[in-house]
Amino acid sequence: MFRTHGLAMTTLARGLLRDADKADDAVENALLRIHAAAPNFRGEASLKSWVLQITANLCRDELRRRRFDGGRPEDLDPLATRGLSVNPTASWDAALDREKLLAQLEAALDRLTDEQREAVLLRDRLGLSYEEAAAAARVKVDVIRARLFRARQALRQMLGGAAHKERT
Amino acid sequence: MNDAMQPDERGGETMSDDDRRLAALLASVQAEPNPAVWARVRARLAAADTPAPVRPRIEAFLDWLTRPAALAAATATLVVALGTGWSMVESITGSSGGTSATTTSEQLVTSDAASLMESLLEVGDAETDAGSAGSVESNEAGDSAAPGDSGGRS
Repeated sequence: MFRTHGLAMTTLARGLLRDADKADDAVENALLRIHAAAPNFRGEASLKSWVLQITANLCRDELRRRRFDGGRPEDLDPLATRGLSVNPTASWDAALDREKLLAQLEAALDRLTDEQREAVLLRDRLGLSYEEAAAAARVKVDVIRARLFRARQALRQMLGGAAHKERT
Repeated sequence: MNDAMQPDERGGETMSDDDRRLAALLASVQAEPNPAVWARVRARLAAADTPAPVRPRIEAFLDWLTRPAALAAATATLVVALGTGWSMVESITGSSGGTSATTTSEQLVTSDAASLMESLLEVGDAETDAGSAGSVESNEAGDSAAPGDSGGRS
């Protein structure tokens, strides 16, 4: 379970909570809850979305417990401080300011609402389908579409010309 | 920004180039799972599967044992306090009144009552001596005002 879905669980938890230690705690509790609830898994959703649903639930609980601090936009390395690492891509390695752009993207993610950030992480970062993302977020597909639309719109506005600069 | 819409390969949705680039940027960031998390999970699962450890049993037994022990200690303290108080009372009464060491509680009460009566009588005598002059005058005045009353009542 951890080998198969550990990466997605950790990526989702760290993306939602923006705190590596808290995210690891959430993943740990999610694994224990999955172990306890495994006999009740009926297979209505895919195993991945079920696992991510449990992880997201625990992250939401944590977010409710504490007032979410979006972090400082001036963080020098927001990826490293949040336990995130960049997956090397050959076509992007030539871009000198890619790390800076990703840091800006993380800072922009901070400014999204929790629901919008969850939709972006499930759909765009983890590559889930709309149905899987909706099941993981425990909302209808239309809701996840709407959240994703507004989140992308906000991200585009916040990033401004940075994405265009990256593209060219 | 280029908003040319093209079908999204993941869900058949139309995405603009910006959205696609944004999604690609987002997908390029991942978090490596922490192996310590899995180790902690395994340890917690193993701890949950094993029977109750010995130490809590001992602690529970000690908890149970200390409850009657505390009761016994409290009772012993009470007995010691009563015994000490009793012996102190005996020593005081024995030295002041010259009574024997086998003085009973009734005798103690009697001697206390006698001394109290004596002290009250002493106080009453002192007050009588101090106010004798005033009382004589008042008696004389009373006799002159109502000579029949005093004789009638007595």
